[in-house]
Amino acid sequence: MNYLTKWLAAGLFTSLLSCGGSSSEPVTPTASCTLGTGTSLNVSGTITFERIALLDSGALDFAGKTSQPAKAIQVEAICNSVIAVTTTDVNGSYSVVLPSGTQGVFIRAKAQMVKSGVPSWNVEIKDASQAFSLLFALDSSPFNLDDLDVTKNLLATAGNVGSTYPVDALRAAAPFAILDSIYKSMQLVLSVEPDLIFPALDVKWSADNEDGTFYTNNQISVLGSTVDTDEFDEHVIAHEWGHYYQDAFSRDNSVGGSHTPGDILDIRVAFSEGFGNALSAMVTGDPVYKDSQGIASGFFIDVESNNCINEGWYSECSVQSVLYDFFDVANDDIFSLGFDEIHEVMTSNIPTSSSLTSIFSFINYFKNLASIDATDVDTLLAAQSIDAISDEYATGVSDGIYIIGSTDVLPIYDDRALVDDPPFPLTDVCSTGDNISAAEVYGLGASRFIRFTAPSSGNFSFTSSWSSGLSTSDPDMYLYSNGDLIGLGVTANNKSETLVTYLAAGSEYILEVLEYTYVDLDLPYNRSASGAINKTCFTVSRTSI
Amino acid sequence: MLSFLLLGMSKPVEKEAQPTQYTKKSAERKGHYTKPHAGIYLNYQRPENLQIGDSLRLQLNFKVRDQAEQLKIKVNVGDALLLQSDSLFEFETVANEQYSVTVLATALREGATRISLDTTILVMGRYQSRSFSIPVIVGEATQPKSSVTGVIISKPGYTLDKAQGVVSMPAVETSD
Repeated sequence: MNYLTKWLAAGLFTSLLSCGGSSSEPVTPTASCTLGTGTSLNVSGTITFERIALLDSGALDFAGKTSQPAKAIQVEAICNSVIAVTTTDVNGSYSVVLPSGTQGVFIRAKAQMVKSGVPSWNVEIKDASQAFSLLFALDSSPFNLDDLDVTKNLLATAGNVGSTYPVDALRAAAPFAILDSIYKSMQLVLSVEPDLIFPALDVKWSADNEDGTFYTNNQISVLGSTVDTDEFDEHVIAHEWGHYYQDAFSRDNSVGGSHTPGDILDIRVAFSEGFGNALSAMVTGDPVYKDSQGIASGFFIDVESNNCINEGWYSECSVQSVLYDFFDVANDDIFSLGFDEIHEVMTSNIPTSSSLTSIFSFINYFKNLASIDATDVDTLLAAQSIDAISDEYATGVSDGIYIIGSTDVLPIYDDRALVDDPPFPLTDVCSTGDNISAAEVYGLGASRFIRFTAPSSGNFSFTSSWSSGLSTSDPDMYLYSNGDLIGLGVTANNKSETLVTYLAAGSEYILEVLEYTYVDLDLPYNRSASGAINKTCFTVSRTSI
Repeated sequence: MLSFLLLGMSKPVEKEAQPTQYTKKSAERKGHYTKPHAGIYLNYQRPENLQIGDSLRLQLNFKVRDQAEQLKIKVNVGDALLLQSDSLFEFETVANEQYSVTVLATALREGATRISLDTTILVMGRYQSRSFSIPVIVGEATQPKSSVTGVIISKPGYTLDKAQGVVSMPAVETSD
């Protein structure tokens, strides 16, 4: 039970509001409420929402609609202004105490989970169709308090009629269904770290939202348009929450973008997305990731299945397969760890690792945990055609068997500058479009990573100069220190790019070099076009200035 | 996690809970972290705004993941448009090929509408779908969502409560 019940005297609350600068305009549904002065009465009930189930195919199952409790959400009693605040428990139950004689009060269930103290969180579901920041709320009709306690049970309905949504259907359940999936996601993490402080999270949804379902900068957008509704797609929401988790508590060097299991991805993208898929199965307890499409179609991923298309260290499918096998209690693998060890690596090791986030950095630290048998990890990796991982820089890892094209994508981290004397210039730093399977897919080998240490403290200039490949070339560079982006060179100059930054003597850095043509979202690259040149190489030099 | 390990090794003491707050370390080079999809890709030229009576000819170019064997496309248009071409298309697919369909429609009435596409591929014996939506404007360009701060869009069934900063939805009240 996590009840927080407050009866705020109307006058006190008004003065608090004015201190906070909030508006004191009358509340729309009960502009004429009169606050009583009589004995205390109990107003209680449950807040529930309708959830439409999903079929195994991922499609919506309108016949499988159930009512579920809205857990841990904020509930208010409103009489012109807020006069009492509480939070629902895990059964969706709430209770507030109000004075008898009150006329025209109503109960409001906000699409918000908020808790202060330890642990704490603040998750709000807002209307994506508004430029204003407006929270969804479910309101009762106004009622009077005479001399008896009152029960007010509020249900947020899905808005469907049979197997469809009418135009302008009121889909009140959606914000609460989204909150429910986020609640479950938070519970998984709280089960292993109960005192967590969650950064505030905004979720944007509306019944006409076609902006996509994605995470960026402490905000999740959830599709609502009937072309593709996502409010009941628990795995989808947990997947996006997984990106929030990585952002908030770990580190994520992924550049995001489009992806599907089977893509041969940049190592950062593969890990980030595979983690999200695996987490969605952990959160829901359902290893089949489901995503409804339109009214009658669906998409699904069997996270438990180890049968990945194009398996390897560049595959989100292989990442999710390995991570979920660490977690689950099924008898198909060696591990049944739960979330503890995964969370420890994600929060204790990944944020301070010097390499970029990938399956290599995760496995490197995971194998070092006292509770883990490294040989067993290698066995699990081998089942996904991944060589034994001995460090976070993928030293000794071989090409996956499914990599397309002839461009060598190894070593993943070019360490010539660590051993050569002089360390620069480096020739034949080659970016490839071979694994760009479609628009917005950040394929393996488009970015190349160079490790080096700074010979002295001071300002340095890096230059990436075209040596072969595309006749119109746009090289770019990004510089990382312990995973943090500390410099970039991203001009549109033809065949040359410069990056100037300060380096600290003895510190190790990673320089990312890429051909922007291969990852340009505005002009999607077509590796199969006639005359396509899928390999562009550069010479990278470094100068003290 | 270190703090938990240390606590676990100490004898139990009355101790105020210590919150665990992490320093944000993500790279600043953020994109959109999107949900996974079925491996169906669409490329098209966004249609110009139409006037009532105008004809729309829209070529849709699809590619599918290498392992797909079949592509099905179902076209639906909003009520501001009259579809004048087939609504169902089907292809046997091979890797790296592009599959094009042409949608023909006539603009019937003003408004912001869309062409929606239900697409399905057959991969390793399983059907996997992806939905697409193509916005189409007939008449004066209208924004389906508020793009100007200070303008609130009202919608049927929803009550805007500016004072409380909420979009209010009526509950169904039950007695059980």
